[in-house]
Amino acid sequence: MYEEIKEFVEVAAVFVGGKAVPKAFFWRGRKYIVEKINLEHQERQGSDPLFYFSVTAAGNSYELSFDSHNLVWKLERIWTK
Amino acid sequence: MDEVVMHIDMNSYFASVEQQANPHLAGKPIAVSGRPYIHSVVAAASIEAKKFGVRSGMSTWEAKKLCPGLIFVPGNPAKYIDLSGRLIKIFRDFSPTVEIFSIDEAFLDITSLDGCTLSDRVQPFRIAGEIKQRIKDELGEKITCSIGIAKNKLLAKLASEKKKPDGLTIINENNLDAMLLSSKLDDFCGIGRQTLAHLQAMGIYTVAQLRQVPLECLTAAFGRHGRDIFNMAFGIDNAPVVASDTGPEAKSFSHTLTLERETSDRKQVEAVLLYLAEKAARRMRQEGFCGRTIHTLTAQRSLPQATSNGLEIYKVGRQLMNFDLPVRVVGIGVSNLVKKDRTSGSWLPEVQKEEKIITSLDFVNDRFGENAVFRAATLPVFSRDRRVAGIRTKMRFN
Repeated sequence: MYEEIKEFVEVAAVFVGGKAVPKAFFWRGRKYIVEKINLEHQERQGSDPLFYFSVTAAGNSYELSFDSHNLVWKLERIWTK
Repeated sequence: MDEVVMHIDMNSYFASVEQQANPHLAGKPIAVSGRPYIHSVVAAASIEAKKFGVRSGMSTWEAKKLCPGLIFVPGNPAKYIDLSGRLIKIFRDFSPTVEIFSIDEAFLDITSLDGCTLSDRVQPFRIAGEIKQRIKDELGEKITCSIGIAKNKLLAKLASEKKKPDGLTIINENNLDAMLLSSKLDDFCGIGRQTLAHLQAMGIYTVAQLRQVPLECLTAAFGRHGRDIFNMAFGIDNAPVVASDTGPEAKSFSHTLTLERETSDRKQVEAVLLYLAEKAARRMRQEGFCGRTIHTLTAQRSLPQATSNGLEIYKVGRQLMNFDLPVRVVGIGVSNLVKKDRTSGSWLPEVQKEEKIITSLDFVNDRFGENAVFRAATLPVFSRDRRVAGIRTKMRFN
């Protein structure tokens, strides 16, 4: 099942062709290398677009979001089972 | 020359999206549902779950009984809508005439594409193959579709049902009869549970039997739909593929909500009704409509003046509701629509003031997201959403 985290995290990302690509994130003192981006989608929070990345890191599944207006990343949820 | 129509049906769409997002779910029986631990229904079942008999619309407890290892995943409509938009963009690269049939189904008219005929399968198959590949490349390998190709929408949809998942079926003159006669009556789009039961009550169980029934009998039994049913047996469908951006405008705006349990608590039902009325009104304003007829699940009433004011819609809805009986499903809608710019605004200062407030609220919600501001009277409803304007609420109905 998923566990909602919703914590701001530091993310190392590259920007390719106007798109953010997360490469690693730091959460609770640990570094997670993004092994694969499984799915990307976009949602809106009011007029601001939010970019979501469902990724595999350290053998588990995580969902990161990037708020391009405020330039912040969040760890939205993790798969716990 | 026959038209060439393609029907694309995404396989177990919501479930496939979740399996694509999370490799731990791949190859497992999963069900996308509302909230897993309360009374809810299955919105979509994965291909693996369908093997156990799990189907959309089934209650979660019933699904769990059929498949004890079933994994429930909370659905995310915004995600499915976004990905659906990307799918439609892919389809529009192949045909200018794309009819969006639902969030996970579309018809494409590919008649005008070079060398596209039903008798020669090569070109339609090539196009279908390219579409499948684009979906895999751009969305992910777990997101597959079944494609049906035929001379009309009825047959194209029937063809796409023939092989799942990841199917590709063409119906042309060579296999038309075989395909029709091997189909079950409820394989046809337009023959639902009730129509099927009605046909069976008339002693009609197969397409071959349906072909023997005179048109007059079917129109007597089903009215105008009788001719459609008659035509289905022969694969006739004259409805064109209508590009969705030129399709008919909305006819009504309505919302319903199933409560966690049946209730006689009038305050609770009123809060839900107001929430739904505001939601319908907001959508109407976003699309530039107002409407005269307000309807609940059991009654309707027309107003002298069209409105898109949620509170006004709610007040009429409240009068239409029967609060003497326990309620499980609450619903409200507005029809008899007119474009807002074709109506004359009110001269009454109190109405003008209210309109200014609504416009300001819309502005805030446009900028900061839905429900950044909302009527306090609807607060109990948000116990379902848990997140209101970024704040978690633990308020519950009772």
